[in-house]
Amino acid sequence: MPVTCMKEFLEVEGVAERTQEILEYQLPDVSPLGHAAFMAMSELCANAIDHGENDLGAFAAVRRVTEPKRQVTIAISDLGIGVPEHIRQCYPEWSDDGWAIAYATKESVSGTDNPHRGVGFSSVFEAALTSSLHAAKMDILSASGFCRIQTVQEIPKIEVLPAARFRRGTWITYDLVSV
Amino acid sequence: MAYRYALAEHGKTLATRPLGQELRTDLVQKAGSAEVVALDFSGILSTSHSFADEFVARLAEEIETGDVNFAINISSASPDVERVVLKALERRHVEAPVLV
Repeated sequence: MPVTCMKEFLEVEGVAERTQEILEYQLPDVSPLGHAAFMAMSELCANAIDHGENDLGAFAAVRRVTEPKRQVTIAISDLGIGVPEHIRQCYPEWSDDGWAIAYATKESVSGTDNPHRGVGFSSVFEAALTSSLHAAKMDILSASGFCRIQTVQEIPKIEVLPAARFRRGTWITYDLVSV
Repeated sequence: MAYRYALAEHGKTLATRPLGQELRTDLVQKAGSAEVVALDFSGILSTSHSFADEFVARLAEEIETGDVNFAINISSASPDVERVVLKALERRHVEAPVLV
Protein backbone atom coordinates (compact mmCIF):
# COMPACT_ATOMS: atom_id res chain seq x y z
CA MET A 1 0.00 0.00 0.00
CA PRO A 2 1.54 3.34 -0.98
CA VAL A 3 2.17 6.14 1.49
CA THR A 4 -1.27 7.28 2.60
CA CYS A 5 -2.19 10.35 4.61
CA MET A 6 -4.86 10.18 7.31
CA LYS A 7 -6.28 13.17 9.15
CA GLU A 8 -9.45 11.67 10.58
CA PHE A 9 -10.39 8.43 12.33
CA LEU A 10 -12.72 7.53 9.46
CA GLU A 11 -9.67 7.39 7.18
CA VAL A 12 -7.96 5.04 9.65
CA GLU A 13 -10.98 2.72 9.33
CA GLY A 14 -10.52 2.61 5.55
CA VAL A 15 -6.75 2.15 5.59
CA ALA A 16 -6.86 -0.63 8.21
CA GLU A 17 -9.59 -2.48 6.31
CA ARG A 18 -7.76 -2.12 2.99
CA THR A 19 -4.53 -3.45 4.54
CA GLN A 20 -6.22 -6.60 5.83
CA GLU A 21 -8.13 -7.17 2.59
CA ILE A 22 -5.01 -6.83 0.42
CA LEU A 23 -3.04 -9.24 2.60
CA GLU A 24 -5.80 -11.81 2.98
CA TYR A 25 -7.28 -11.79 -0.54
CA GLN A 26 -4.40 -10.77 -2.83
CA LEU A 27 -1.20 -12.01 -1.14
CA PRO A 28 -1.71 -15.62 -0.07
CA ASP A 29 1.93 -16.04 1.02
CA VAL A 30 1.44 -13.53 3.86
CA SER A 31 -2.34 -13.78 4.30
CA PRO A 32 -2.12 -15.29 7.84
CA LEU A 33 -0.57 -11.97 8.97
CA GLY A 34 -3.68 -10.02 7.92
CA HIS A 35 -5.26 -9.70 11.36
CA ALA A 36 -1.96 -8.70 13.00
CA ALA A 37 -1.40 -6.05 10.31
CA PHE A 38 -4.97 -4.77 10.75
CA MET A 39 -4.46 -4.41 14.51
CA ALA A 40 -1.18 -2.54 14.03
CA MET A 41 -2.68 -0.16 11.47
CA SER A 42 -5.77 0.46 13.62
CA GLU A 43 -4.06 1.10 16.92
CA LEU A 44 -0.90 2.87 15.75
CA CYS A 45 -2.57 5.13 13.16
CA ALA A 46 -5.32 6.06 15.64
CA ASN A 47 -2.62 6.87 18.22
CA ALA A 48 -0.82 9.03 15.68
CA ILE A 49 -3.97 11.05 14.99
CA ASP A 50 -5.22 11.07 18.58
CA HIS A 51 -1.98 11.88 20.41
CA GLY A 52 0.11 13.29 17.57
CA GLU A 53 -1.79 16.58 17.68
CA ASN A 54 -0.54 17.75 14.30
CA ASP A 55 -2.56 19.31 11.46
CA LEU A 56 -0.65 17.30 8.86
CA GLY A 57 -2.18 14.09 10.22
CA ALA A 58 -0.46 10.72 10.06
CA PHE A 59 1.15 8.75 7.24
CA ALA A 60 1.25 5.00 6.72
CA ALA A 61 2.60 2.56 4.15
CA VAL A 62 2.67 -1.24 3.95
CA ARG A 63 5.13 -3.39 1.99
CA ARG A 64 5.34 -7.12 1.39
CA VAL A 65 8.82 -8.66 1.20
CA THR A 66 9.44 -12.18 -0.09
CA GLU A 67 13.22 -12.64 0.39
CA PRO A 68 14.96 -13.88 2.50
CA LYS A 69 11.71 -14.53 4.38
CA ARG A 70 8.09 -13.71 3.70
CA GLN A 71 7.26 -10.62 5.70
CA VAL A 72 5.06 -7.55 5.92
CA THR A 73 6.57 -4.21 6.89
CA ILE A 74 4.36 -1.42 8.16
CA ALA A 75 5.58 2.17 8.49
CA ILE A 76 3.61 4.82 10.39
CA SER A 77 4.68 8.36 11.15
CA ASP A 78 3.43 11.70 12.34
CA LEU A 79 5.02 15.06 13.07
CA GLY A 80 3.22 15.60 16.34
CA ILE A 81 4.51 16.03 19.88
CA GLY A 82 6.15 12.59 19.96
CA VAL A 83 5.79 9.68 22.36
CA PRO A 84 8.23 10.96 25.05
CA GLU A 85 6.57 14.35 25.44
CA HIS A 86 3.10 12.78 25.33
CA ILE A 87 3.89 10.19 28.01
CA ARG A 88 5.58 12.81 30.24
CA GLN A 89 2.18 14.52 30.59
CA CYS A 90 1.47 11.76 33.14
CA TYR A 91 5.01 10.61 33.98
CA PRO A 92 7.18 13.76 34.05
CA GLU A 93 9.98 11.86 35.79
CA TRP A 94 10.69 9.79 32.64
CA SER A 95 13.25 12.23 31.29
CA ASP A 96 15.19 9.88 28.99
CA ASP A 97 13.42 9.79 25.62
CA GLY A 98 14.40 6.19 24.79
CA TRP A 99 13.20 4.79 28.10
CA ALA A 100 10.07 6.97 27.99
CA ILE A 101 9.17 5.24 24.71
CA ALA A 102 9.97 1.82 26.18
CA TYR A 103 7.71 2.42 29.21
CA ALA A 104 4.96 3.78 26.93
CA THR A 105 4.71 0.39 25.23
CA LYS A 106 3.88 -1.34 28.53
CA GLU A 107 0.26 -2.25 29.18
CA SER A 108 -1.83 0.36 31.03
CA VAL A 109 0.80 3.08 30.63
CA SER A 110 -0.81 6.09 28.97
CA GLY A 111 -0.24 9.79 28.50
CA THR A 112 -3.92 10.35 29.29
CA ASP A 113 -5.51 10.12 32.73
CA ASN A 114 -7.98 7.44 31.56
CA PRO A 115 -7.21 4.11 33.33
CA HIS A 116 -8.66 2.15 30.41
CA ARG A 117 -6.25 3.59 27.86
CA GLY A 118 -2.67 2.53 27.25
CA VAL A 119 -3.30 -0.89 25.74
CA GLY A 120 -2.69 -0.07 22.08
CA PHE A 121 0.87 -1.40 21.87
CA SER A 122 0.01 -4.49 23.97
CA SER A 123 -2.88 -5.37 21.66
CA VAL A 124 -0.64 -4.97 18.62
CA PHE A 125 1.90 -7.41 20.09
CA GLU A 126 -0.82 -9.85 21.22
CA ALA A 127 -2.42 -9.92 17.77
CA ALA A 128 0.91 -10.93 16.26
CA LEU A 129 1.23 -14.02 18.46
CA THR A 130 -0.10 -16.62 16.08
CA SER A 131 1.31 -19.86 14.75
CA SER A 132 1.98 -18.06 11.45
CA LEU A 133 4.47 -15.65 13.01
CA HIS A 134 8.18 -16.40 12.98
CA ALA A 135 9.29 -13.09 14.50
CA ALA A 136 8.22 -9.48 14.90
CA LYS A 137 10.31 -6.35 15.28
CA MET A 138 9.09 -2.83 16.01
CA ASP A 139 11.39 0.20 15.92
CA ILE A 140 10.03 3.40 17.47
CA LEU A 141 11.96 6.62 16.97
CA SER A 142 10.76 9.83 18.56
CA ALA A 143 12.56 12.97 19.77
CA SER A 144 16.00 11.72 20.89
CA GLY A 145 14.76 8.22 21.71
CA PHE A 146 15.05 4.91 19.85
CA CYS A 147 13.33 1.82 21.24
CA ARG A 148 13.26 -1.61 19.59
CA ILE A 149 10.84 -4.38 20.61
CA GLN A 150 11.50 -7.82 19.17
CA THR A 151 9.27 -10.83 19.65
CA VAL A 152 10.79 -14.21 19.03
CA GLN A 153 9.06 -17.40 20.17
CA GLU A 154 6.34 -15.30 21.85
CA ILE A 155 8.77 -13.52 24.19
CA PRO A 156 9.09 -9.75 23.72
CA LYS A 157 12.49 -8.18 24.27
CA ILE A 158 12.79 -4.41 24.69
CA GLU A 159 16.00 -2.54 23.89
CA VAL A 160 16.75 1.16 24.17
CA LEU A 161 19.33 2.05 21.52
CA PRO A 162 21.26 5.24 20.76
CA ALA A 163 19.35 7.53 18.40
CA ALA A 164 21.40 9.03 15.57
CA ARG A 165 19.63 12.39 15.79
CA PHE A 166 16.59 14.22 17.12
CA ARG A 167 13.38 13.44 15.22
CA ARG A 168 10.24 15.48 15.35
CA GLY A 169 7.08 13.40 15.84
CA THR A 170 6.96 9.60 15.97
CA TRP A 171 8.34 7.17 13.38
CA ILE A 172 7.45 3.49 13.67
CA THR A 173 8.42 0.55 11.49
CA TYR A 174 6.96 -2.85 12.27
CA ASP A 175 8.17 -6.05 10.61
CA LEU A 176 6.01 -9.16 10.80
CA VAL A 177 7.96 -12.18 9.56
CA SER A 178 6.00 -15.24 8.51
CA VAL A 179 7.06 -18.81 9.32
CA MET B 1 -38.23 -8.90 23.16
CA ALA B 2 -34.90 -9.37 21.39
CA TYR B 3 -33.08 -7.01 19.04
CA ARG B 4 -30.25 -7.87 16.66
CA TYR B 5 -27.60 -5.24 15.90
CA ALA B 6 -25.77 -6.12 12.69
CA LEU B 7 -22.26 -4.69 12.82
CA ALA B 8 -21.50 -5.62 9.21
CA GLU B 9 -23.73 -2.71 8.15
CA HIS B 10 -20.87 -0.47 9.31
CA GLY B 11 -17.97 -2.17 7.51
CA LYS B 12 -16.05 -5.42 7.26
CA THR B 13 -13.55 -4.28 9.89
CA LEU B 14 -14.06 -2.08 12.94
CA ALA B 15 -10.93 -0.18 13.88
CA THR B 16 -11.24 2.90 16.04
CA ARG B 17 -12.47 4.11 19.42
CA PRO B 18 -14.61 6.94 17.96
CA LEU B 19 -16.47 4.42 15.76
CA GLY B 20 -17.04 2.21 18.83
CA GLN B 21 -18.48 5.16 20.72
CA GLU B 22 -20.71 6.15 17.78
CA LEU B 23 -22.08 2.61 17.36
CA ARG B 24 -22.67 2.16 21.11
CA THR B 25 -24.77 5.35 21.17
CA ASP B 26 -26.61 4.23 18.03
CA LEU B 27 -27.28 0.78 19.49
CA VAL B 28 -28.64 2.10 22.78
CA GLN B 29 -31.03 4.39 20.89
CA LYS B 30 -32.20 1.67 18.50
CA ALA B 31 -32.57 -1.09 21.12
CA GLY B 32 -35.50 0.78 22.68
CA SER B 33 -37.19 -1.46 25.21
CA ALA B 34 -35.53 -4.71 24.07
CA GLU B 35 -34.61 -7.07 26.91
CA VAL B 36 -31.82 -8.80 25.01
CA VAL B 37 -29.62 -7.40 22.27
CA ALA B 38 -27.55 -9.68 20.03
CA LEU B 39 -24.33 -8.04 18.85
CA ASP B 40 -24.13 -9.70 15.45
CA PHE B 41 -20.51 -9.89 14.26
CA SER B 42 -21.25 -12.05 11.21
CA GLY B 43 -19.26 -10.79 8.21
CA ILE B 44 -16.77 -8.89 10.39
CA LEU B 45 -13.15 -9.76 9.53
CA SER B 46 -11.47 -8.01 12.47
CA THR B 47 -11.97 -5.56 15.28
CA SER B 48 -9.27 -3.59 17.04
CA HIS B 49 -8.89 -3.62 20.79
CA SER B 50 -9.87 0.07 20.95
CA PHE B 51 -13.13 -0.58 19.10
CA ALA B 52 -13.95 -3.65 21.22
CA ASP B 53 -13.24 -1.74 24.42
CA GLU B 54 -15.34 1.25 23.45
CA PHE B 55 -18.24 -0.69 21.94
CA VAL B 56 -18.58 -4.02 23.79
CA ALA B 57 -16.67 -3.62 27.06
CA ARG B 58 -18.08 -0.18 27.88
CA LEU B 59 -21.57 -1.40 27.01
CA ALA B 60 -21.10 -4.41 29.33
CA GLU B 61 -19.88 -2.01 32.03
CA GLU B 62 -22.98 0.19 31.59
CA ILE B 63 -25.16 -2.92 31.92
CA GLU B 64 -23.40 -3.91 35.15
CA THR B 65 -23.86 -0.44 36.62
CA GLY B 66 -27.52 -0.34 35.55
CA ASP B 67 -27.13 2.58 33.15
CA VAL B 68 -28.40 0.35 30.35
CA ASN B 69 -31.36 -1.95 30.88
CA PHE B 70 -30.86 -4.81 28.47
CA ALA B 71 -28.66 -7.88 28.34
CA ILE B 72 -26.30 -8.54 25.46
CA ASN B 73 -24.96 -11.61 23.76
CA ILE B 74 -22.24 -11.87 21.14
CA SER B 75 -23.27 -13.62 17.98
CA SER B 76 -21.31 -15.11 15.04
CA ALA B 77 -17.91 -13.70 15.96
CA SER B 78 -14.88 -15.19 14.20
CA PRO B 79 -12.12 -16.60 16.44
CA ASP B 80 -9.97 -13.47 15.92
CA VAL B 81 -12.85 -11.14 16.77
CA GLU B 82 -13.93 -13.24 19.76
CA ARG B 83 -10.39 -13.22 21.19
CA VAL B 84 -10.14 -9.42 20.96
CA VAL B 85 -13.60 -8.86 22.47
CA LEU B 86 -12.99 -11.24 25.38
CA LYS B 87 -9.64 -9.59 26.11
CA ALA B 88 -11.28 -6.14 26.15
CA LEU B 89 -13.89 -7.40 28.63
CA GLU B 90 -11.18 -8.98 30.79
CA ARG B 91 -9.21 -5.72 30.87
CA ARG B 92 -12.26 -3.85 32.19
CA HIS B 93 -13.02 -6.65 34.67
CA VAL B 94 -16.58 -7.01 33.42
CA GLU B 95 -18.49 -10.24 33.02
CA ALA B 96 -18.37 -11.69 29.52
CA PRO B 97 -21.72 -11.78 27.70
CA VAL B 98 -23.00 -15.08 26.37
CA LEU B 99 -21.35 -16.12 23.11
CA VAL B 100 -23.80 -17.58 20.60
